Amino acid sequence: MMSSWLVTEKRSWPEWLALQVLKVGPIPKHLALIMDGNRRYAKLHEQETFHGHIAGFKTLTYVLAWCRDLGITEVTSYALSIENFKRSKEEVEGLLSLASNKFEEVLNEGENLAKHGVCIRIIGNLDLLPTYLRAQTAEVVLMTRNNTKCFLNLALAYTSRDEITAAVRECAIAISEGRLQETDITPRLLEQCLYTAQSCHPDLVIRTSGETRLSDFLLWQSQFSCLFFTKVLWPELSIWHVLGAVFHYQRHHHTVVAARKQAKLLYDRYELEADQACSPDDPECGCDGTKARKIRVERFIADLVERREKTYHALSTQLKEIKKQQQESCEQEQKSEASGRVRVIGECGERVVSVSVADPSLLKRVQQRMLLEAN
Amino acid sequence: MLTSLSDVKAHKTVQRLLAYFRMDLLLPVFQLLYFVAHFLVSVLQAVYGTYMDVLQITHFLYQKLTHTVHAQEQYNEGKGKLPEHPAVVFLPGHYLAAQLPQLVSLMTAFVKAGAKQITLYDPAGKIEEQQDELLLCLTRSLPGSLFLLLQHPLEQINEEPQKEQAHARSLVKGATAQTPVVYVSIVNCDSGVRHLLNCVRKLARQPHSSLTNLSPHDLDSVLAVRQVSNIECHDEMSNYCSEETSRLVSNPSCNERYLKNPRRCAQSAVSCSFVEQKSLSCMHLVRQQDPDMMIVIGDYMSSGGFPPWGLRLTEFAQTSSLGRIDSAELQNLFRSYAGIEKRFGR
Repeated sequence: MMSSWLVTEKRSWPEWLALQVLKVGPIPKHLALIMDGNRRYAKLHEQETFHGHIAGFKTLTYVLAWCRDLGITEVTSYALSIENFKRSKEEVEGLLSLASNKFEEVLNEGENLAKHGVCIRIIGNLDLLPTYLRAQTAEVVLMTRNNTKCFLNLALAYTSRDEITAAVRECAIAISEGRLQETDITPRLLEQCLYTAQSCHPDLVIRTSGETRLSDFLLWQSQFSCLFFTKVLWPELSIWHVLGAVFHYQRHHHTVVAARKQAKLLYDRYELEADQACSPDDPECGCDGTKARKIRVERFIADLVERREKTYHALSTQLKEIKKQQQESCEQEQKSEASGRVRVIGECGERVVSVSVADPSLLKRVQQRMLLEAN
Repeated sequence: MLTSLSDVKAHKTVQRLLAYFRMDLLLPVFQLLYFVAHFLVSVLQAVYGTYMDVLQITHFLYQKLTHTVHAQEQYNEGKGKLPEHPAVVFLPGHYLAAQLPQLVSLMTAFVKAGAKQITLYDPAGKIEEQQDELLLCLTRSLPGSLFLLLQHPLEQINEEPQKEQAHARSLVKGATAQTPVVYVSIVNCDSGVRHLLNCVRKLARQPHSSLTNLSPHDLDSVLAVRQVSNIECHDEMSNYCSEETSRLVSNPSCNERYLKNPRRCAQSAVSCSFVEQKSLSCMHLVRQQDPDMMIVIGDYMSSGGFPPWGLRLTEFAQTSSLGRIDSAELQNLFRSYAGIEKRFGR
C-alpha cells in the first residue's frame, strides 16, 4: 500500500471560502499535533489496531495538505512516544514497521519533496529505535535538509522530559569539562540544546480524542502556546476541526504574542545576568568577559551540532551498507531459483526477507503471511 | 497553497471561467466575513462561556443538519481519584486583588475534596503580594487544617516527609497528629526556569560518569528536592508567645507590625494560629510534586509559562473567569477528572 506523503486535492466551495476568510487574519507559523485516538478508531470500526494507525497516517497527510493551503509553514507531530514502548510487542513492532515503510516512501519521493520544499526533521532519542529505522531517519533528514519552504518535525521515541534531560546533560558535562562556566547556563542556551533547536516554538497545539493533557510533548516549547483539545478521534479529524482551531488561535493571537514578549524579556534578563557574572578579563581570549562567554557558548553549540551531524552521516553510511547487503542476499536467492525452488520476497518490518519455497502448495500461505507482516 | 479559484472543485466550464477571475477583488469580502465571524463568536462566547462550549453547540447543529451519527462517548462515572495537587493558573489580566475571597473559596473546596498541595501561578505576581492575607483567609475558612507556604530556592533533600509534617504539627499549638497539612505554593515564570538552571549547576559538580547516564528519573529526583531550615528561629519565636493573637488575627494592620517583630508574636485561641503558620512558612519547607489538574483562568487554554517540567500528565481545564467556578462547575471538573483513563503510553 504505497501512499504519498504529499496529497493534493481540490477544495469544496465552503472549504475554500473558509480558508480564504481565515487567511485574512494571523496564521500560526508552527502547529503541533498530538495524534491521539487511532486505536479507539480501529475498535470503533471493528478493525485491528494496526489499521487504526494506517488511517491515522492518512489523516496526517491530509492535515499537511490543509496546513500548506492555510500557509502554516511548520508542523510537529507526535508520532511515537518513549512511553509507547510499554505497549504490546506486536503493536510496537507494527508501529515501527509502519514508520520504516513510510520513511522508505519518503526516500523514494525525494524529488517530489524537493519540488514542494518540504524539510523533514526527526526529534527524539534515536538510540531507542531499531538500527535500520534509525539509519532511515538519518537518511531522510540529510536528504531533505536543503528544502526550506515548509518543515515537518516528526517526534519519534520522544518525550519532553527526555529532551530536557538530554539538554541538561550536555550542559552539565560541558561545565564539568570546563568548556562552559556555571554562569553561562541560561534558558536560551538550554533551548539551543533541545532537539527542536532549529524550530520556533509552536503557536498552536492540537490534541484529538478528548484527552486534555500534553502527555510529555513539547512541554518547554509550548509554555505560551494556544492549546486546543478536541473530542474527535485523530483518523476522523476533518479540515473543519483544524480551521476551528486556527480561528480560536486568531481570536487570542495578540495575547499569545504579548505573553511571548514577556517571556523574551525574562530570558533577556537571564542573558544580562550571565554577562554581568562574567569576569572582567578572560586571560585565554584576551578579551572582555562577555565576549569570552559568547565565544564559549558558540563553540559549545557548534560542537553539539557537529556531533549530531556526524551521527547522521554515520547512520546514513550504515543504511547504505545494510541495503548493499540486502541486495547481495537477493542476488544469491535469484541464483537458487535455478534449482527449481520458488522465491518469495517481502518486507517484514526493517528486514527484507527472502524465502525459498520448494513446495508450491505452501506458496500461497507464505505469500499471505509476508503480506500481512509487511502491512 | 490555494491561490486561485481554479483550485476549487467545480465543473470544467466553471473552472475555465473562474481562472480569469481576480482574487484581489474578493479580498474585501473575505475581510468582512472574517470580522463578522469573530463578532458572532464573541457574542456566543459571552452567552455560553468558552470557545469550546460554542464549538460544541455548532457541532451539535452540524450533526443535526447533516444527520451524522457519532458513537456515544463512554463516560466513566467517577471511579478514579480526585486531584491531590490541583494548580490554578491565571493568564495575564485575569486576576485582580479583589478576587482573593473567590480564590480562597476555590482553594477551600479543593482541600475539602482531599487536595494535599495547591499551586497558584500568577505571572503578574499579585498573588505573591497577597500571600500573607491568603494564608490568613485560608486559616480562617479551614481552622482545622495546617497550611504551609512553600518557598524557593531548594537546597537539600529531605527523605522523610512524615517526620517533617509531625515536626511541623508539634510546633503549632493545638495541632494534633490528625491535623491535615496542606502545602500551598505560589510560583511565577521565574520559579521553574531558575530552579532548572540551579539544578544544572548542581549536577555539573557530580562525577562525569554519573552525568553521562543521567536519565529523566534522576533529573526528576534532583528537581523534587526539599529544604528545611531555621527551625531554631521558630523555637526562639515560640518562647515569646503571649495571649494577644485573637486581636492580631482580626486586625491585619496589627499583624504586619507584629510580623516585623516576631519576638512579640502571640499564642492563638484558634487551634492553628496565623502567626505561627506564617513563622512556619519562613522555614522554607518545600515539596515539589507534579500538578494532577490545572485550571486555567483565561480566555484560552495555555499553561501561560507555568514551570514546564511538572506538566507531563497534568489534566487541563479552562474557564474564562474565577467567578464562573461555582460548586456545580467544580463538581463537574472533579467528576470528569475522576473518570479519566490514564494510560501512561500503553
